[in-house]
Amino acid sequence: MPNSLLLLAQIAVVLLTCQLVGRLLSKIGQPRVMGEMIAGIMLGPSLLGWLAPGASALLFPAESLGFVNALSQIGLVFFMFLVGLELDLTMLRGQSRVAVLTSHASIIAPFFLGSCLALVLYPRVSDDSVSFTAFALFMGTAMSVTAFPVLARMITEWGITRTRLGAIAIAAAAVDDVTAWCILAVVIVIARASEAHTSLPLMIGGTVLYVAIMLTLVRGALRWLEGALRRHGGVSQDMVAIVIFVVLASAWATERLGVHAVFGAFMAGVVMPRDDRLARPLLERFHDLMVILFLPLFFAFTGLRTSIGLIAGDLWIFFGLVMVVAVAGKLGGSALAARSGGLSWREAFAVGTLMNTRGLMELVVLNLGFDIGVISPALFAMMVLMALATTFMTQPVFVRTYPKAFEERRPGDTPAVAPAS
Amino acid sequence: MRHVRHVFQYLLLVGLPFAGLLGVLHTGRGLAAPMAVHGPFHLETIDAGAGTCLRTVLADSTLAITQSGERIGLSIGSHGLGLAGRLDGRRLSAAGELPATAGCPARARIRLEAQATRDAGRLSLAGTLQTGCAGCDSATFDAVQPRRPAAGR
Repeated sequence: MPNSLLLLAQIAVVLLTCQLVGRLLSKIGQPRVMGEMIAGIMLGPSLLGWLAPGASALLFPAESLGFVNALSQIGLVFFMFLVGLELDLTMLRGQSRVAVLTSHASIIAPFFLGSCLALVLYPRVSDDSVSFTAFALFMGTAMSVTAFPVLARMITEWGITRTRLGAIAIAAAAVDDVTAWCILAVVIVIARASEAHTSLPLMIGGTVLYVAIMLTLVRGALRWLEGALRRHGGVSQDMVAIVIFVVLASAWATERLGVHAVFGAFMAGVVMPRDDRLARPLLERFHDLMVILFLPLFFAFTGLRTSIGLIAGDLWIFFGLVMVVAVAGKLGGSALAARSGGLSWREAFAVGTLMNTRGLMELVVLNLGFDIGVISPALFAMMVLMALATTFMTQPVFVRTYPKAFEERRPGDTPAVAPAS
Repeated sequence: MRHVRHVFQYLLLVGLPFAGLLGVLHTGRGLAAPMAVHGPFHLETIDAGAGTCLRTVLADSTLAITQSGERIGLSIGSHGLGLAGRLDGRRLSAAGELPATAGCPARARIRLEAQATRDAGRLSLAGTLQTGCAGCDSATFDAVQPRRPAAGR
């Protein structure tokens, strides 16, 4: 039974801390989500637990973390639903060769370098409960993730959506997102199959069948919503209830299959009708609740399991390697591809800088890896720091690298509000 | 000609790293990682001598290990006894400070040495806890972990 008083106090403290630090970081041009991620780390053993272990144990006793985790998982499920809902795969059609080359190179280059890094890290920070294949594939995936939601909002806020640079970055990031999640699903299946001594072909077969059902039967059934929209002239409570049911059922299905609930939620978003009269109201109804209430709990839970103190001695050298690989793979790979596609070096570097943003998506990937035991606590801490560092560096590096982007804004490209995730 | 150039760029920037990835996955299969000893254990046999400090600390018979490669962290009992150490092959060694809440002398050090054995999927530890304080005695213990935990460590 959860201690209700304690849970309410935990939620209040988390929200307050995230709001305060988020505001602080937004004043220096960073996305608010950056502050919220840092706030989560501050509430964990890395700061609060180190400075005031008694207070930390009082506020976040070990036995209460399960309830915080459960709430954060619900938030994560619906956040991934929104990511899937916002994904516009039509933007990928007819994309220039540059966009295709950039998107593919921006996946495989960091993926390859991440797997090379796995050769160094596996004997030192992993253990024999994880196969090298699962470990290397996970490290590759973690290195190749781009925070598409953060990137999209940054580009919108800076008003460079309609520039060539912005279009390439958005398209490449969208492909990155979808590809990374597909690979991560495979990694989780591999890791969990060996863990549970379950047949890998069975798990993969079940997942393929699930995807086929979602893309055909469920997508077809959801077209009913478009008819309901026309009849009601808007989104009714019944329709929202049906959407919530579909999200939860899909998340349950993938969790049951052993792939993880977030994939089901993501797929539920992907198969939703793309009618703006449905998508926009759904986004508006869910967005604030997710961003203001549930995601901070996810950041807090991530922070509570991040112990920077574990990175001691020679592990800092490995952290340095992680940073080099992360930046070289993503920024370098994307920039090289964009350059070979005809962009100037400055533009190509700017594309690479944008693609190097990892943000919340990286934290989601890392938590999944930690949950299934593919990465150890020390490696988790290193990768979380990497996610923070690469996200933090995006804005200052981009502004200094390519101030011209802001001069290329066309009339009507009015900056939107600060990115929320 | 332009098309050929695009194909070449794609092979160079995408195909080559992909081939490299396959090579890495093949090469890495031969790598060995430290033995997995992380997770919760149940202390089955405890011989704590006459000392009340260790008896109190080990009273609820729980031991949990977190592991990052050869680096291990142990949490014993419910009085906040935490040790940090290393895994060397199958040998665990760790040290920490006794908790004052268990009636132990303030800042007394404690050292753990144990041997890990894996038999038919069952992981067990056998070792000793030695303190550096007079009258605290030492304790020998056996601990078992019946199933490998699937969740994060």
